[in-house]
Amino acid sequence: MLNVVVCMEIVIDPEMPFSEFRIDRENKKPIPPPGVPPLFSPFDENALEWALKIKDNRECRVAVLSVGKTLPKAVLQKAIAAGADEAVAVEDPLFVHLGPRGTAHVLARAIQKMGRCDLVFTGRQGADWDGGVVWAGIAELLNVPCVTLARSIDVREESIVVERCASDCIEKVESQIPALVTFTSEAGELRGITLPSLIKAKKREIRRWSALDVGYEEREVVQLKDLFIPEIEVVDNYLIQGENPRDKGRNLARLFLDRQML
Amino acid sequence: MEGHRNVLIFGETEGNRLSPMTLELLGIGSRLAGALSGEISLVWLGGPMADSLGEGYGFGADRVFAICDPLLGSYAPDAYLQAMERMVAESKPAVVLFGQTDRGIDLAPRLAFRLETAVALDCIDLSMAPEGNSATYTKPVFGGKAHAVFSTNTLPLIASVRQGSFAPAEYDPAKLGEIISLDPSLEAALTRTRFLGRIEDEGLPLSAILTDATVVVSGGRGLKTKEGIDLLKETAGLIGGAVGGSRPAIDNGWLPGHLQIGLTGKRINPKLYVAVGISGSLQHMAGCMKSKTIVAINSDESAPIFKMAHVGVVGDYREVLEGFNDEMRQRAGIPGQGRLIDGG
Repeated sequence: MLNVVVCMEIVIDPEMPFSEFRIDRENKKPIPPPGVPPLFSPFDENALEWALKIKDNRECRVAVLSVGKTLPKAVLQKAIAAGADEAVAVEDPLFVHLGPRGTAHVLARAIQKMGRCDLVFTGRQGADWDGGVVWAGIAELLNVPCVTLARSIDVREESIVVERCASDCIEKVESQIPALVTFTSEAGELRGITLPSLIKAKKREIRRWSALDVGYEEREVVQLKDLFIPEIEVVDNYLIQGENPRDKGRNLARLFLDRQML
Repeated sequence: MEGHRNVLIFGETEGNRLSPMTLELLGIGSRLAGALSGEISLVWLGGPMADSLGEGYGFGADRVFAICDPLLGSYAPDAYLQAMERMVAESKPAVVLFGQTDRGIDLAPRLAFRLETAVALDCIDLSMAPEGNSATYTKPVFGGKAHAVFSTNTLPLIASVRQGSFAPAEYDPAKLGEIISLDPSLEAALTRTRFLGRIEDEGLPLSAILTDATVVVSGGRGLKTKEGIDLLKETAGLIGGAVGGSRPAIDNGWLPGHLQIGLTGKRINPKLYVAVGISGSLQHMAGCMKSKTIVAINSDESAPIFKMAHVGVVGDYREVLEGFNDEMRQRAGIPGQGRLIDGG
């Protein structure tokens, strides 16, 4: 039986329009938009999808692990409804300023506490602070090899073969097990959730641990000094005119040719 | 590691020359070394030695190191990590700079956690206190919607730098030096992953074309169907451009992943960038902001891209591109080819 732990962060919807994005500069944090529920960071959903794909084809237990100050049950239940066997929430008011180092320590401790684990999956980076470093901390603390930016995995007897999205090609990399793998959007979106599975998931308990349960100690070495919305340089915009869209298209072509923009 | 005042740069080569990213790192590196009154070490890791490393001296490095070993011939993180640990011990840096490249974003966080020190990826600004006891950096967060400024007293800071954030170092042909070869004494047994090869798939040639193209035609969610890509390709063909897309175009399977332009895809800077059916999310704009001229074609006149584009066309993209293509063919003396798209 293969045991997979998927580390999933819960974030403010990253697809929210820029015009609705607000920050509390004094407290250096974003203001969650009213009426837009939090959700899993999209790259972490890609990671969960791959864990579930493995489970579709072999005996495999998939556990989801989240860390945060408050972790909404409804979001965690979505992972169970999608097919995860278990969700563990490490939740504590102490985590209000948890940075990448602290997050990596809490996740690594929690994974150890969860028992046998063959593969740890995460997204390539969180959709909030775009840090892209927590995975390395977990791998280093658990002392396991790590392959980043996966789009797919082939699980073999004692190893995995990962197709990795480099910027100009796909690389094939083999790794020993246990291992940590990070996923990118090319791994595919999380499968759809049916209403019956969601209703069933709502009856399931979420395992909750505190900072104390995982032996958390404050470890941050970086301080956030400022958070601000940069001014967008509004460009002097030249709008192409025309009778209709087709006519505008013709005028655009004329502009390109007459101004030698090509 | 208090009192360390040097700058260590992870150098990369492209076609046997120092990469443009590395020259930028040497540019910011010289500023930081100046503030710290320290030296710049440039290190290059690989199998056989790259010929042009000596030019690192001309671009401002005080010492250029090469660590060559068969284990470093292709990218193997565990072996690269051992070599970089060795290099940090040798050069005593206050800051280690990587490019925001495939290797940089993979190696920098590993090295930081291995050394139990601070790490920051995708920095767009970076400074060191002259006392050499703290570093401050700025990076885009929340998909580029905000910028965050951080500081740390835990050094060395391991940082990767976004391309285009700093001016490249200038070349001084009078500055010459010997390349210092270091034996990393790598332990093969510690290499737990193995590079098996590249998959020469659909994206590879197209991807190189996209990065080098002077004209790029790019599609997004607003294309609505995969057939929209055919129309884009026709337009690109007529104006000698390459085709790319924003993340929804890739997620919908309309284009292969290599052609994604944006924060987590390619960052390009063509002369002309034509964004079709792209709303202009900051994640996407991070990949094309440096284009000389940005043209937006979108049916939604309130789309944010119109604030960032130099030329805007409001209208259904199919009709706009059909009109555009007709005019281009006419001017070029190419007979009309009829419609590739029936509008459905």
